[in-house]
Amino acid sequence: MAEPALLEMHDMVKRFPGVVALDHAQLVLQKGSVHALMGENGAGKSTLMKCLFGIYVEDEGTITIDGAPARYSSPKQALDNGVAMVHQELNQVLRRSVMENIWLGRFPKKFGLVSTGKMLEETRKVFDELNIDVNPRVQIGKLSVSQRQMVEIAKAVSYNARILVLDEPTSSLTGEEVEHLFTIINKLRERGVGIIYISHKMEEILRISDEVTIMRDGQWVATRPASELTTDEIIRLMVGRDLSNRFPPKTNVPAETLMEVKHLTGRYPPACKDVSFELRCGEILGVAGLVGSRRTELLETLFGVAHRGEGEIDLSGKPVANRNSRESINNGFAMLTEERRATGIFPLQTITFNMTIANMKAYSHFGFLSGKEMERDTRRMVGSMRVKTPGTKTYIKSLSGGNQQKVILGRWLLTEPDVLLLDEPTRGIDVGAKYEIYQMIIDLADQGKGIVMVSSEMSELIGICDRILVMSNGRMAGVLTHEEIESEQVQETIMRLAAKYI
Amino acid sequence: MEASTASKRFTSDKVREFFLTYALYIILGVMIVVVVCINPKFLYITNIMKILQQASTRGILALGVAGMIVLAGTDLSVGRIVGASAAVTASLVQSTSYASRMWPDLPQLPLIVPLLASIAVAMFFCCINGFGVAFLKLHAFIVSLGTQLIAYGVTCIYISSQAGGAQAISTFDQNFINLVNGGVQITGDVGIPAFNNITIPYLIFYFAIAAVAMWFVWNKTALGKNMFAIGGNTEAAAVSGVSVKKNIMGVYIVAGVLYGVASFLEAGRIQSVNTQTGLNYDLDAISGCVIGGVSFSGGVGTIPGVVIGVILLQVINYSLSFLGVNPYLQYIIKGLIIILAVSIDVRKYLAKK
Amino acid sequence: MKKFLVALLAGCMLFSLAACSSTSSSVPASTPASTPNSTPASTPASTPESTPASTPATDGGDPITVGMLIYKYDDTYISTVRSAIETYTAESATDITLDMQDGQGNQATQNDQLDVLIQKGVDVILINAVDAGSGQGLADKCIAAGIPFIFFNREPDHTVLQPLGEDGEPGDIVGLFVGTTASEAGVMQGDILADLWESRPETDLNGDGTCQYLVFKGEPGNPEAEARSTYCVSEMEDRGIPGEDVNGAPLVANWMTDQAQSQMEAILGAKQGEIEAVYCNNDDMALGVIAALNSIGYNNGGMDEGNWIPVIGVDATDAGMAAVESGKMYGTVKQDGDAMGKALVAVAVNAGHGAAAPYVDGTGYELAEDGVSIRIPYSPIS
Repeated sequence: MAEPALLEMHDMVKRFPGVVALDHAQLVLQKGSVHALMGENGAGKSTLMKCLFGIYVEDEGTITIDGAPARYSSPKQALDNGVAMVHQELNQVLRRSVMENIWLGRFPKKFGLVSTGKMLEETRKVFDELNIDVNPRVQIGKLSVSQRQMVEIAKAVSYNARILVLDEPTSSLTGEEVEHLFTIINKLRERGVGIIYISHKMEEILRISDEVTIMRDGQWVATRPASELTTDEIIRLMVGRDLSNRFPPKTNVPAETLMEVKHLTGRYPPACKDVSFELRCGEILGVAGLVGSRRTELLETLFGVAHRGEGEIDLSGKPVANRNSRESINNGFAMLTEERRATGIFPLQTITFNMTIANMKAYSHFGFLSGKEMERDTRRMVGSMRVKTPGTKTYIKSLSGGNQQKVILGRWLLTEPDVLLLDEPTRGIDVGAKYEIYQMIIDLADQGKGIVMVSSEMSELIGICDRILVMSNGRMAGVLTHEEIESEQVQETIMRLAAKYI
Repeated sequence: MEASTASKRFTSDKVREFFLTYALYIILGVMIVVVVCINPKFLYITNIMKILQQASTRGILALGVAGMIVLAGTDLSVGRIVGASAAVTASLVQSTSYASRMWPDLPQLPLIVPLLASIAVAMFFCCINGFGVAFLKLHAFIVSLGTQLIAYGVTCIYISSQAGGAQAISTFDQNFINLVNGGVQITGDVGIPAFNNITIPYLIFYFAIAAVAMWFVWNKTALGKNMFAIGGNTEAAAVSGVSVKKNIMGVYIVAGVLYGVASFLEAGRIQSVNTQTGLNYDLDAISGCVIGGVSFSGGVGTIPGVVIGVILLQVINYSLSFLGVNPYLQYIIKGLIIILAVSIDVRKYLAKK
Repeated sequence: MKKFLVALLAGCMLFSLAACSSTSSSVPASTPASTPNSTPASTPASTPESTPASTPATDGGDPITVGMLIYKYDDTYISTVRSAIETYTAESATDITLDMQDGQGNQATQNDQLDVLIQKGVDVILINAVDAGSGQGLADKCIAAGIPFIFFNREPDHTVLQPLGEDGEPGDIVGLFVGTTASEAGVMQGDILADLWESRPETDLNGDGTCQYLVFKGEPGNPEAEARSTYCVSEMEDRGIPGEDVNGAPLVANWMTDQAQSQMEAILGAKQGEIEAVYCNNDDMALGVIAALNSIGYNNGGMDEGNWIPVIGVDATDAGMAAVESGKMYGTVKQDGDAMGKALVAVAVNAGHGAAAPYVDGTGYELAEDGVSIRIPYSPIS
């Protein structure tokens, strides 16, 4: 009889009120291998992992590790038994130091007291081994999202786990950092660690993983060696239909100049420096750059959320002050924020609330809000954007990421903006929903709106943008024209520009 | 040209940062200077000692409440718990020569007995709070609102059970009074009459010991670190393997010990305990913490901050009475200073964009 | 586990409910133990027009139920009145059932409790109003229900007890007030100090012939607090001793020991040696003042032992009396809770048996000059 696999999960069933999240799902992980777990959002990947990690209790099914039954009642027990997990949401205590976050729950002690010295030393050891350049004493909330993600990965590694679950570890990493992560993963694989890798990024999956398990609607669909799969094949298995084209056809045509930005500089660091560009009606302007290149800061300065130091913004030839978001909204600007969960949605409010909150002025008659008009607009947007929801009274929290993003996009569309600033509009959204968001962006441009879109996914910038502005260390490194985007060397050009001022 | 404006901005930011970092100390300093200008006697060492002495019991309470605020909760029951514990303490330390004693047959107990009894009572109520927060998943505001009533009821029943009805419990054993109200005498002549023969009240030492002990708990024990983690991001703590319930209970039990000690001392300080003893101490303790930079959103706070906050509050109280400010005006001034202090302090954490 | 918890909680609640209901304050009167020598109205000279011949076995008349609204149970003085009432109820020849309610210092709560008493159909209601200003509303409810009412301790406006007729002149008396004269405690405090001042010249520390004093007020707006704060000083001045408030205005310590202590400590920091006397609206605050004085070496014994200044309180609580005996506190004024309780029981029985307002006929008590109240005198202790 063959040696049992490192981890086997069979016939896993988990029901939530009204939903079957796992429907006889299965997963077999071999020692010293990377196993990709794929599926659209809501396919049950995270639920399956949460059952393993002791956050959820499965209703049916068996979990064995090295052939022995493994049933953990809490994350602590899972961690003690060599199962570590990097969660998709960065669960960190932002006001505490990096090292405290890493050793939380198992502080190194001396004479019963927590030893800061030992903690620092241990942290340095882990960081050195993984080549991570972060000061362990600094408050974690002051790090960039990608640094925080690397810290989270280092934390999981530091448990010396036999099984390591990485849930969307690269969602906010740059290309370079992804390479770094892969080096770490390879090192762990050589040590015999079994790694479960959840991601939406096909290219990464095909490069790093040994096997791929695909799930759909809580069910197991297929497990294949990665070498036998192609991107299209994976997508077909995931969505259950062909999706040969990842981007909708571009139908928008840039027209006359809508906005002109001159020497825009933020006041408080980190800030963008001396950025000048113009945006046309019906144009989609991409903003590329490495993490830390202050693309978000550029959008925030445009929108007035961050203080403007110097520079001028002209809209249709007239300068606008945009001193705060209210003023910017009145001037016809709208902004979709990067961290949807933190700064976008009101989780325990209805779709209607979330959809109309930025546009209350329009529903106010003599100081009273018209519920009927709000409902009418919400229904219209839900319909036109194909938001999948049981109704407008549903809490937005219970929608999938893609549908949440549609609602927020809808919120801004209701204010009828001229300029839309989109910060990572497709982050953490599954392939099918991404396509719909792209289509929506292109439709908006078609209606003559100007769109500035920040993204870390180069393929989507290349796929739907008319021009791409590249930021490097807070400054503008260059703008790629439509012809340059069409050329073969586009990726190389962007990378070169992105490193220009570093 | 550009460089010079940039550097100017740089220095003005530095100044701003300096003011924000030391805002509490600056406010404290300004207040003292103002009071001294009006009445220079304020600088007498006896006044300073009195302020610290008055701050002591409240300070110990604030050290306990601070933990709950760091957990993103609060405690509205402090005052009534103090009432209950102080009543128990008082009934056990009454002088044997006093005729209307609550327990006429009780011999003079060693002082450790009332201290432990006081701690036990406070811990009991804190455990109710902790249980409600950790296991019943209630907000600390709600649980402590309930506990507050329970503690008050218990205090009333206990105090009314005296032969003479709801009388204040008073007339304590002299040893007890000395232990609380005594002090270390430093005799000597430094040439300035106001600074000769200083007495440092024991209460100040008790407060200092409590503060140092709590500094260790907060910074050097897993309980302290976990407390910050739970307050800052409960989910992160849970997935990192921290036992949230156990640690919450731990924080409440530590608070119970502090409350018990503070009630014991408070009974000795005011030397007469009735049903109203402790009323509104919760507000004093919470304002002390908040002034000292313990954030209501949880996960933020330092022991030195709490200590300074409590002292600042007491300086306000003391100096207003000291200067003989109209009592109605005192309330208004106190309110304004608290709002001012906290609003400057929170600026520290507001990231500028 | 969870179910067990719920069961446990539910059990606790049931238990506490049961416990509460079993202690509901009904004092079954030990009927025949009438003690003729103790009560002035010992022979409840059964007013012939009120008691028809159908009297049951006891000579105390029909059994009655007395509803009582207490402003706050844990008030020290009121608690002595309460226990006096319980004692005299038990001793009364009439079979009296007491139904006491704790207003918890909240007028709204008290209004609800009055409704409850009226619904229960008590024979007479004794009202210790939380807020004397709301007396009219309370009285109206009783009048509408046809239940006799007696205010005590906190004095309502006299038009509540004797509404004005259409001609603007006082009309029929509809109720009664039993209490003290608000000014009296303050006057007695002033007298206590004046007596001391006259007999002991060194009380005037600086020898300027003026008394430098402090007043600790209970709570602003409370009629007793205001009256005591005013009259202690005015009586002293009427006795020929000019006064000077060291603080410029009365200090507010909300009746509480710790607040009085903290404030006194601060004032001593600034004005030690300048203060010649301290008046406090109650003994609790006086004890706080004494604790503050003790900490700087004052008032550790009688007036002849080291530094000492007179502190005068009101209430004569046990703790206050102990302080007076040891010489730490110079004097206090006793509100006679016992006498108040006795008077209330007497008029309540009378009213419950149908006597007309103001219910004093045959009780041996006399109405004060205002015609609607019985005044229980204070007694000074020093």
